[in-house]
Amino acid sequence: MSFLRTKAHVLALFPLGLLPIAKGAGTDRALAIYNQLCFNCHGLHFDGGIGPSLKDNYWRHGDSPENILKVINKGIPGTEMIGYEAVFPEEDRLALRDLVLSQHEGLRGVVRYVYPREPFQGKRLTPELMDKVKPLSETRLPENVYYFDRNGDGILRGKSKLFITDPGQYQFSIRTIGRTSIYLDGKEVHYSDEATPKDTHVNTKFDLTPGNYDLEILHEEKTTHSYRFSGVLQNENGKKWPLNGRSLEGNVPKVIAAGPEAKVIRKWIAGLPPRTLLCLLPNKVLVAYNPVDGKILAAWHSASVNQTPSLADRSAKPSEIRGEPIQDIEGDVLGKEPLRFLRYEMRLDTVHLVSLANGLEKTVLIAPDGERSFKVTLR
Amino acid sequence: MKTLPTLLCSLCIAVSLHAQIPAGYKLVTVPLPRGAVTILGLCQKPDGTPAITTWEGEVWEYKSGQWSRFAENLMEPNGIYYDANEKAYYVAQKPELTRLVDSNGDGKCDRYECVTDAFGISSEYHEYHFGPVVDSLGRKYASLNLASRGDFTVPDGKPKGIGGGNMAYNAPWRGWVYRSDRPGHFHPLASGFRSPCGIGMSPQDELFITDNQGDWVADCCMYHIREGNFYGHPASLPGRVDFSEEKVSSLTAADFAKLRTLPAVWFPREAIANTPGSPVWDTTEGKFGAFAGQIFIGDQRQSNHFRCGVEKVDGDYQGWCVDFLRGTESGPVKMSFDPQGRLWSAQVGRGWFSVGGERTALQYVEWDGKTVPFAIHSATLTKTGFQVTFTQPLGKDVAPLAKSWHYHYYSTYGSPPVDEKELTVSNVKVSLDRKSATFDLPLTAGKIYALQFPAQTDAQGDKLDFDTIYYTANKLRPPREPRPGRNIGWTLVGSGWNRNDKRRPLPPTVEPLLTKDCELPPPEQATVLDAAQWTNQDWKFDAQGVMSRGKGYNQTKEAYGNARIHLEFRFKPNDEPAWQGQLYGNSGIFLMSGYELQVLNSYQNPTFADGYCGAVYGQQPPLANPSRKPGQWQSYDILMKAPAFGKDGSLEEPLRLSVIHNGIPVQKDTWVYGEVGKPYKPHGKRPLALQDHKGSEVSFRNLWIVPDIDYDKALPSFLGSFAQPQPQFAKLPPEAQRITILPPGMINNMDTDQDRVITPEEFLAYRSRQFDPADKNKDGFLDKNEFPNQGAFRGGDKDKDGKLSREEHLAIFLGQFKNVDIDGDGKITGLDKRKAGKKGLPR
Repeated sequence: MSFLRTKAHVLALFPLGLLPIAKGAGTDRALAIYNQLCFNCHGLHFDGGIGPSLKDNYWRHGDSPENILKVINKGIPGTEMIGYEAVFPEEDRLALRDLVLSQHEGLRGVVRYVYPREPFQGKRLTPELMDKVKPLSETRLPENVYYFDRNGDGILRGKSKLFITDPGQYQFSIRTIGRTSIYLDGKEVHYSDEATPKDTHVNTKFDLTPGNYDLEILHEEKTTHSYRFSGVLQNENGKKWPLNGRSLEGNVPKVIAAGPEAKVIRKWIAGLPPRTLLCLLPNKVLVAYNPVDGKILAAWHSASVNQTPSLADRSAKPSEIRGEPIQDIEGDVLGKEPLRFLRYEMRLDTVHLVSLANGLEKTVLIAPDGERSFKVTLR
Repeated sequence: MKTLPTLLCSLCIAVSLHAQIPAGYKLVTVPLPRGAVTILGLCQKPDGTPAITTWEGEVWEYKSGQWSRFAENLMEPNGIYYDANEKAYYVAQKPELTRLVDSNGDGKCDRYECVTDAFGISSEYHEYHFGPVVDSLGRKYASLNLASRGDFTVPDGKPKGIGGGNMAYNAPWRGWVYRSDRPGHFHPLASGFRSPCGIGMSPQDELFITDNQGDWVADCCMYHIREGNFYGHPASLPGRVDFSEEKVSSLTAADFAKLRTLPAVWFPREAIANTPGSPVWDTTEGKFGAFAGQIFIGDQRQSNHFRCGVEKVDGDYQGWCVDFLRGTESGPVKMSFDPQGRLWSAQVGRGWFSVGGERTALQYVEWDGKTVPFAIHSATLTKTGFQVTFTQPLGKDVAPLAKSWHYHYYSTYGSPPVDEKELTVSNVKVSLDRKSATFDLPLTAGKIYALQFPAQTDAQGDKLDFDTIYYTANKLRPPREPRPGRNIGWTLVGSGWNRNDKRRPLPPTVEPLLTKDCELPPPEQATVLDAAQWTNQDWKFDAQGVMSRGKGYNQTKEAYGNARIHLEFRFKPNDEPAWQGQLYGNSGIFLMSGYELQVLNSYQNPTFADGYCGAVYGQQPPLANPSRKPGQWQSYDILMKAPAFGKDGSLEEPLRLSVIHNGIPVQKDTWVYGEVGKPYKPHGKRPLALQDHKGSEVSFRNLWIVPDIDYDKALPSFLGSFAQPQPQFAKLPPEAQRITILPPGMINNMDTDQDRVITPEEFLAYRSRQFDPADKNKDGFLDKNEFPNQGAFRGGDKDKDGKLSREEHLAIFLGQFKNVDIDGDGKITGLDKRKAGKKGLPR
């Protein structure tokens, strides 16, 4: 089967600005701006750095042309992304939007519907059949991959656009769990069902030209501990686009950055004792203090803490410290006396760590010292 | 701020697909603050302000429809309590029980105080810390989860993992519930828990814990906690003085079964619960409907609320459970009633499957104040069957069905119902008000009974939402039960025991230190309590300075408060059977003339636990029993802090006491609750007194006291004043110890004579049996494909012909045998242990 298409066809299907990007003067201008300015945060290859990747599936602020333009125009408060409305003329900003859009291959504008199971028992899942039944829920997924938060308790119908920049032969590779039908522009290109013999399955290879397509995924599986649907679209060159993934919320590490006052952070960090207190000072210096023995274990400058995503794997993953290690720190603060840790307090830029040693309260003060260091005072 | 509209969005009534909500009740969802991806803990301030804790480490308060963040950057605070007097929160963070104080009143925590971190933690993610709940004396209780991976598990001969004993004891006090009386205090209370996610304190100051089905836990259940008891998961036992990892490994399920306390209520899985949360008591006095006094629990998996009740049968709690409501958005774990009588639940669906499906939710259930839904109210065991009570008069036909079963107690994950059978119900009688039904059925102790009322209607024709109530009958009604109010004694707050309770576990016997090491001479600042210091002339001193008991109590002339005391005592041997128990060597050290540290011969002389030598009499048994034989000198080292009273005579801090008996700490900073048999009344310094007790031939010597000592300052060095010996256990013969160095499945195949010794012959016989099945092409050699371990293949293929002969194959395993035979005695036994220490490291 092949999907040779004309521009007119594409236009008819996608009147809303989801057009494939034509190369032209606008693109060159946009690239020039990008390489001058945007790359600082979003990376030379659009793959992110200080700012998020513009290539991956996660679109915190929406992936529609309108949303992308809005971010370019207005910026995101509280981040380094400022609004460029007053900086560049509209045509430049539109070109930048199209440039961003052109980088984002794969699924776009993903909407997840959940349907009841009963009406489809014993029937092959088709878009026409499903159109006749009211879905239980409809959710726009900002992540542009499919996931279930209702434990798969129902039938998934996913509707999205598929944006392709490379011409060539494509094929879906779907894990055979339950039953899955995939429709591209209204035509079935994949069908698999774990209950039926393999020779009844359909797994078509098809040719695509650059452009946007309508993609529908219809899938049902037994309710289990977690949702098991998994699949990718791949082309003949081995390039892959995942269809399933994880929710963005709770899966994006929360970055705990230094603030105007000192912070004390308690997270599980691999290699540090579990009771370690991470003192993050306003000068972005992070000091790891073990209250059990009153020792400074390590320190970093230009540091932040990347809190592990809260939803992944039952908290089995540690959080991470980002920063440059500070060498040669004096670790032993409170000597060898047995300690009982009493409390910590943050007072402006200083952390007060109070322990009881031999019946006496002893306070360790950790405060910033210049740009890249800290000082320890014992009281 | 962009998110404001969502924060302000009005409360919405939850509509769930499979919800079953009793008539007159509604389930309301409260919008959560941004960033609260997973909520773990929930409590109410007295003014009704709810506070939540989140997995992300934050504490939020919800006031007039607005969330404000109180604290952040904590580590998995799994439970929260608000102390209205102290105006502070207590949270169970993973590594610490922490008090959160807002000292400048700006609504944000600015002081994070460590209440206790005296338990171990190895960084294994499953080492959750749940709580705290609080008794009427303000003492905090929390529970400590076992780890899900680690070196020390109790597979009991089964393949380690889901098959048997996957939960591990990686650090001290995991699998325990503890009490903390005040900052710095940690008192392990009871052991044997697996994943004690639910913790609740009844209005009568009784502690209950719910545990999660898994290895050694046949099904989800609720325990009534009694101090010192063991509740079934043996991996926690090495925390006890009388157990070690070796000893636990040498025991079997039958041994642990004798030791364990049964759950008060089993929660049949799927029907009621798979992951029950914390029990809360309906103390709303009717504001929540017809279930006043009952226990409500939410289940994380089932996304339901269910009700429980317990009753004492032959002295122990047992009871029933019945579903109440289904269809919460996510999985409720922590719940709390607010002052308006609404039942709030903090719900979580992360990590473990929740039927509700949402990742997290905060909801409350509200009663309309009038509609009484038709429901099973409760059940009670009779001598011949059950009485089941309903909320509404029953319709015409009452035809209960009944079924019973029990569970295995073993290391495998969960137990199916065993010996499940339908029972014949007879003699069904409906009460005059038609609100309860009694019926008979064949009763057996140790069974769970499902009592079902299919298609039951009330007088109006309404049907039951949930037609089955489950009763756990650990015991049957004895022919004669003690009349309430007589001979029961008073219950000790939070400990689950009555005073002088004979069922209370006895302190474990341990070796004392050598007598000469315990005979401490008086230090310079001490007052030696010689003959001149005592008032009762009937207590005679001999030439060696030994004082013998006389008639009446003997008081010092001086009065004392805080003090460090040393004394030595000796009992006259007495074989008379009439002079045993509390009559053998009974005396007492009456601190400040009223607070009794028991003196008793406790060498092979069993009595009730809180009457042992070293006990705070009638309150707190000693942690261990290091008594010497009568006739030998024994020692007490005492550090005490006098009780503190306010100007109005109210008690500010009870007397605190630490005691070392024969060199072994037996009381570690124990709070003393009143004088013997009397509550506190204010007083200042008072003399030290010694008790004259019937039957006691006791003498004392080397008595000295250091008055006015700074208790808090002296405590750490006091408790460490004797070198603490590691508990010594009789070395078991090799064959008594289970082999742990090889996987159990392999051991079963190798140890054909089952003598717990694997000889080289047995080892190689097993390996040579593997040769033929591996030799797929039957050429008498194993090629690379037939022997997948390539490293061993290269090493073993001595003649480099690219294949292994039988001899080469066996030679590989002879090498392996030597690696496994750690002690080099030519056989693999339980003594062969890997040298490497524990991973993860406690602290």
